[in-house]
Amino acid sequence: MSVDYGSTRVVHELDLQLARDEIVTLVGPTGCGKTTILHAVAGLVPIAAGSIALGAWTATPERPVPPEKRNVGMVFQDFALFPHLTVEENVRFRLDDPAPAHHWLERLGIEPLRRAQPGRLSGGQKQRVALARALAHGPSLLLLDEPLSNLDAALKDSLRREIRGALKSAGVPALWVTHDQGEALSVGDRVGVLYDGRLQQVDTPERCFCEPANRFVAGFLGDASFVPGHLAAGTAVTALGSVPATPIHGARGDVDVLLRPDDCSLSRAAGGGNGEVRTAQYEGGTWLYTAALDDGAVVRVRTSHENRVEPGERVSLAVTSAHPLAAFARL
Amino acid sequence: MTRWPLSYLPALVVALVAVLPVAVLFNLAGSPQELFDTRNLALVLDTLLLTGFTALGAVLIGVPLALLTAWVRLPLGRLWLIVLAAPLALPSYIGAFTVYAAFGPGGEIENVFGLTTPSARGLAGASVVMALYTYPFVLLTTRAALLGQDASLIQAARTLGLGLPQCLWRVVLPRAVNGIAAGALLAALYALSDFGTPAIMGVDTFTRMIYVEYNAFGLSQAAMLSLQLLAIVGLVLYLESRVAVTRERPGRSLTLWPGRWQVALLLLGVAPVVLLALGLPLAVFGLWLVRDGSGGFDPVTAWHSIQASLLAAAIVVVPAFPVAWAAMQGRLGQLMERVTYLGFGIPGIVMGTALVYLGLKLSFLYQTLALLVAAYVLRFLPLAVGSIRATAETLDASLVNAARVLGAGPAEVFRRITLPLTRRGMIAGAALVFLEAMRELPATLLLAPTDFETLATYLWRVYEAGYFGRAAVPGLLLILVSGFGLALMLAGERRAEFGVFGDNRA
Repeated sequence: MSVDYGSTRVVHELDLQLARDEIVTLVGPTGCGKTTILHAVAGLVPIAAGSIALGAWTATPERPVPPEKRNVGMVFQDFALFPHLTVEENVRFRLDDPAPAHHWLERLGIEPLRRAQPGRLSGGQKQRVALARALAHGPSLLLLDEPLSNLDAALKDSLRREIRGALKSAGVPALWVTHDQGEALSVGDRVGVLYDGRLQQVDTPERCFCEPANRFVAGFLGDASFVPGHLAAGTAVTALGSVPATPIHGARGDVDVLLRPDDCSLSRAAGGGNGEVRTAQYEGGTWLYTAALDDGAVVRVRTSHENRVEPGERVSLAVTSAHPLAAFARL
Repeated sequence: MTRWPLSYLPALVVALVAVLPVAVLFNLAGSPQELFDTRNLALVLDTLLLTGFTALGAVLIGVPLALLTAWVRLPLGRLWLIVLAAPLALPSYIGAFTVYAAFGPGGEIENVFGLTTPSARGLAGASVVMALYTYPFVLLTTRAALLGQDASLIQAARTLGLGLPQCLWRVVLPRAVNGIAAGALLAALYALSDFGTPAIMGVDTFTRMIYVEYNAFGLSQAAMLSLQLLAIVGLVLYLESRVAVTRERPGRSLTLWPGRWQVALLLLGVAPVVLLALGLPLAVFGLWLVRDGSGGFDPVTAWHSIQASLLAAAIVVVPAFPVAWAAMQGRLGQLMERVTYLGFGIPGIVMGTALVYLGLKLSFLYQTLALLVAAYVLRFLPLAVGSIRATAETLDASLVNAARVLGAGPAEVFRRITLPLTRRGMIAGAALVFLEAMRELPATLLLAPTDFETLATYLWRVYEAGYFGRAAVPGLLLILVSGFGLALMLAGERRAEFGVFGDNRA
C-alpha cells in the first residue's frame, strides 16, 4: 500500500505479510511514516494505492473499510483511555460478555484497579489497561503505536516482556511500531526498518543486525564502523587482517566491512600495533574507544573496563567475532 | 477522498444567520452615498474621544495593577487579583448609574456627608466610569504578558547595572507592549459598544444617538448610524487582530516580597479604584434599600430576566456545538467560527436595531420573546462556542480513533465519547450566556415585548423616571448575577483559551 498526505507520498508501496501469531516491529527515525502505516491499517487514514486485507475484508483506495468494521485492535502512544469511564468500563467498552474483560484485567494484573478512573493511574498501569482493552475486544490483528515511549526507562524493559508474553498467549499477530532499536530487536519475531516512507529491510532481528540490507539499516540498528578491504571467496582482507565476510547485494572486490564495537579487540602496543586511540569514553562497565587505523579508517571498539588506554597511545586491533561480517560495495 | 467534515454544514448555516443582522442593516440604511454624512462629525468626535480616554484610563490603571498582581507576593494574593478583576463582570451601566446618582449637587454623597462634589455628567465622567470598568482587560492581558517573561532577563539587566525602575522601562515594558495594546483595544471596543454609560452620562456617542433615533421612529437613520459605528468597530477589531501577543519561553517570573509598610502603601493606592468600581454601587444601592425598602419592585421583572436568559442559554448550545466543532476541523471551519464572532463585535444597540427591523418585516416575530432570545443567542454565541471549544480541544483525537478501532460507528462515538466529554463545556457556555443575557441592556430595551420588563430595563426606566430608590433591588440583584458570572469565569479560567487569569507558577 501507499499513503499520501495531500500531494506528498509518505508511505511508498509497503509490502508486508504477517503470519498467524507473528510480532513484527517497525522501526525507523522520526517522520519515517511508521505511525501513518498503523493508522492506514486501522482505517484512520485513507490509502492512496494498493490494498489491505485481513480475514474477510479487503480495503482499497476505492472501497475503504471504516475502522469499526476492521476488527483490529490498537494501543495508542498516549494510551487514549476514555477519561470519563472507569478502567473496567474502558476494557468492556463494546463487550456484552464480561468474561474476556475480566480475563485480561486478571492476566495483566490490573484487576484491583478496575473501579479507578484512568486519570489516577501511573503510566505503566495505563499501558496495561490500554492493552487489556484492545485484547479483550478479540482483534484479528493488534497495532501498537510506540507503546512504551511515554514510560520510564526502568519500566520499559519489564513491560516489553510482559506485552510480548500477552500477545503470544492471545495468539494475535501484531504490528509494533517503535523508534527504539533495542526495543525493535528484542520484541519482534521480525523487524522492519523504515526510512523515508520505504521499507528498507524486513527480516529476523539477527539478520537485520548482522546482515543489514544497506548502510542506513546498518547505522540505524547499532553503532557501525566501516573498514575498507578487498573481498574474494568469502574472505575480506583488511587492515585488521583477513576476516570471513558476507557480501551484501553481491558486493565483491573493493568493499567496506561493517564492524560493530563488539566485533573487535583492542590492546596497548607501545610503538607497534596497527592504530592509535583518538578518544576514550568511560561507560561504567566498559570503555568505548575510537581508534584510527594506519590506513585512515576510524573504528569504534568496546572493551572491558579493565582495559585502560590513553588517547594518543598506539594499540593493536583485531577482529574477534567468529560470524562473517557484512561487506558493502565501496561507494 | 476529501470530504467535508460533518460539522461544516450546520456551522455554515449558523455563520450565515450570524451575518444576517449586518445584511439587514445595509438593506435598511438605504443608498450608500448617505452612509457617510459630514453632519455626524461631532458624533464621531465624541465617540472617539470617549473611546480614546477610556483606553488611556484603562492603561493608566491597568498596567500598574498588572505589575502589582504579577510580581508582588502579597498576603491573600489571589484574592487581590479577583477583587481587581471583578469590575469586568459588572455591567458599566450599573457603575454609571450609581456614579451619576452619587456625585454632583443633590447627589447621595452630598446627602450623606454634606460634601458638595462636582457633577459626573459629561465626557470626563463617562471616561472615568468607563475606565473603571474596562481596566481589567488591560490588567489581565498585561499580567499574562508579564508572567510570560523570564525573570532572568531582569536579573541579567540588574547585574549589568540597571536599577529596578530602569529595568521596568527598558527591559520589561518594551516586551509587554503588545499585551498592553491588546488590553487597551479591548477596552476601546467596549467603550465603542457600550450604551448605558454614555446614555446615563449624557455623552452623544453613536450608541446613544442610535437609541434617540430609534425612539424618534428614525429606524433607517438608526441603521445608518449603526453601520458607521460598525465601521469603527471593524477598524478596532482589525487593529486587534494585528497585535500579536507573542509568548516567550516560559521561565520563572519575578517575585518581589514587600515589607509590611509597603503592603499598607499598596493597599492605599489600590483602594480608590476598588472603592469607586465596586464599593460605590454596593453602597448606593444598599443606601436606597435601607431608605426606600424594596417597595415598588415587581418580582415579575426578575422572572422575565430569568425566563429570557434561560431560553437563550438552552438554545445557544445547539448552534454553538457544530461551530466549535467545525473550528477544530480546518481553516474553513475556523473562518465560520470567526464569522459567528461578529455577534460579539456588534454593539447590543446595533443588534437591537437590526432585529427590530427584522421583526417589522417578518410580522410573526414582531414584539415576541423569540426575537429577544434570538438577539441574546446571536450576541453571546461566541461565549458558548469558546467554552465548548476549550473543552473539546482537550479531548484527544486518539480517543475518537480508539473508539472507532474498538468497533464503534461515528454515531456511537459521538454519543458515548464526544458528547459526555464536552458536556462540561456546554454547561459552562450556557451558564455564561445566561449570566450575560441577565445583564444585557440595549438590545433588551429595543426588543423586549410590551410590558416585558427585565431587571436591566427596569433599572433604565427608574433612571429615566428619576425614582432612584426603586433601583435598589434590581441593582443589587444584577450585582449578584455579576458575582456569579465572575465565579464562573474563575472556575473556567484553567481551561479557557487564553487563560486570562492564567498563572504560570501553578
